[in-house]
Amino acid sequence: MSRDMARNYIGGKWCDSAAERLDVRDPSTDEVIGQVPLSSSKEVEAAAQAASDAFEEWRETPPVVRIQYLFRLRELMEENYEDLARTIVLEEGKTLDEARGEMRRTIENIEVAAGTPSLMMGRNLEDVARGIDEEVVRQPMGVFACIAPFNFPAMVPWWFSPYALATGNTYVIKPSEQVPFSQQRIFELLHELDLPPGVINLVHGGREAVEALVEHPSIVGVSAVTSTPVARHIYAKASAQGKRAQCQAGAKNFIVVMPDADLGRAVPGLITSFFGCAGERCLAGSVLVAVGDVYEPLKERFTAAARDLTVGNPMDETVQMGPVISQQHRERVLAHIEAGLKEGARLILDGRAVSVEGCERGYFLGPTILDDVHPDMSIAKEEIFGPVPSLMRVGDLSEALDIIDRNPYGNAASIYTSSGAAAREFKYRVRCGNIGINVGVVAAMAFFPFGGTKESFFGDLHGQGQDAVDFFTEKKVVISRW
Amino acid sequence: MLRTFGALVTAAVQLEESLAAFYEQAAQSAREGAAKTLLGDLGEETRALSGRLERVRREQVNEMLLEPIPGLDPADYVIALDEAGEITHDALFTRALEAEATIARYYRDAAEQMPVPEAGRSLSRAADVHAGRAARLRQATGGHPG
Repeated sequence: MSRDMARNYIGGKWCDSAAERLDVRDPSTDEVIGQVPLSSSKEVEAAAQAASDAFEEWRETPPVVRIQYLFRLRELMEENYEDLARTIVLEEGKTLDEARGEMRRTIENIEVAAGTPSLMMGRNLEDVARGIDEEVVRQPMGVFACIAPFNFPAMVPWWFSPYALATGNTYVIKPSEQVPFSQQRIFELLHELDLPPGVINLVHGGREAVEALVEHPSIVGVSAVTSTPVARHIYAKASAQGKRAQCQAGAKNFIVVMPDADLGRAVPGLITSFFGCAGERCLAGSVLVAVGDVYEPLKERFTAAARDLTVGNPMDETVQMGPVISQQHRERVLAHIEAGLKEGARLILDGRAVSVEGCERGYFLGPTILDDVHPDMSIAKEEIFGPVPSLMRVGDLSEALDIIDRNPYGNAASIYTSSGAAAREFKYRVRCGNIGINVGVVAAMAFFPFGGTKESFFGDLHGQGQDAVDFFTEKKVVISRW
Repeated sequence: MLRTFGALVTAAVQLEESLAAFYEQAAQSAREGAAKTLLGDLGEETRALSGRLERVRREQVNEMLLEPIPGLDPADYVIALDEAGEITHDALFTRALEAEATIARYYRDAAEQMPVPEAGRSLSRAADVHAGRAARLRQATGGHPG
């Protein structure tokens, strides 16, 4: 199937859309690589209906049979691994290694969901009263939907969908309109599985499709990964209708480096955290907090390592950082840098003028570091989502913890230290969903829950693992006397 | 410079592919006998090794460990494999021995830089495989060349 026109997949069939189309661009070159339809609410309605029609048969399909489709999908993903990774690179702009890592995590979730016959089990107790037994069973609920972001175009829908399918629900995925082709490619593989029509559906689109998914009466729950204002909106709207919702939102991640940190080990981890995926990762480091005397050596080594990064076309495997997603986003990141400078921050590494030979129209930004950043500056508070760390100096760990605590986001935070006491205090006090101790990218594995706290998450059950199984099932208690 | 996990493994795959093509062509041109069998076997084994490395690149990549590495210069590991059909028997085995030694050295150096220990182990084992071939090649030439 051609990659030049994204198509919806509804009821087991590829469907052309008559809706308005958007160009999809390669962020490395600005070339148009295809188009995506902004599907109407009627097309969402068709997808939701197809999923609803498929539900009864699918929920009656034994879990051990349902997971066979996941095993086969996993095999197909392995067979098509490089092609899938290159599709991610083409439309999102991350490096090949990062795209391969994304595919690995995608597959890892499918592998964990394949354990659903165990994960979904209920529990029971005989003789809760004389001659009376009680049990709790888990049952699927109906149609769920995923509203996905641009930054992990293959993986994010598969934080949720394998668990939804394995537990007997049916599903609708709406990818970001900026990156439709990774899911398109995955659905081409899904099409080979001969799943019952309607069990899983793909609808491309923008805001209209999102609103229609959240409003549709057949859809009983929504998983979304987006910005904080949109996540809050989706959560409020879904929960007002009695739907389940888990909405992962924005982030502002602080990384604290203590004076006793081993900088030789820390700096490579910091570089990956701040500049990996060009900073467009909800787990990316954003503010580097140097405690006490570590400030000068940390600044020197971190800046030198950042300067040494190879920025370029991410299809070139020697490249360590690719472009950001769009020209518009690049301008937004530049505006954050300008705001920081106006507020008194100092530029100690300036990547704004980076140029990549052969990719002169790409949306590249080199590593850019702002120093003398204070907690009240906008760049210390707002999500930037680009390769622009803010360097901040504090007197002690307590001051660092207070700054983190005041920030409204709670997705991730890390500490680099060789002190068990400092590490313990950090993990005990910081209110974030993901804590790193001498780890800069705190990406929860598929068998652990993934999600933030505070303004970074709206809901209770997170994605992945047992949390996902809980989200996609409801518990029913049965009390029996014979 | 090869400074990423993927670049290190892909360079290894490319070295294996070149070597496999060399052995396959050499086996095709060689007269029936022990040398032809050996060259054919080495070609097959090298292809299999290349496949194993592609699997390492797929399965061992870990987002949390994609840290910058000092890197290797590919110019230090160039293998000169002329058209295997156009050189003498002795020259062919000499080239093969040199290539095997270079590739083994590449694997040892790359293994030291691997941020993922499992991938490092796979590269070390590949180094052992190539180092072990020297004896087989020397045996096939009666102790010469090399």
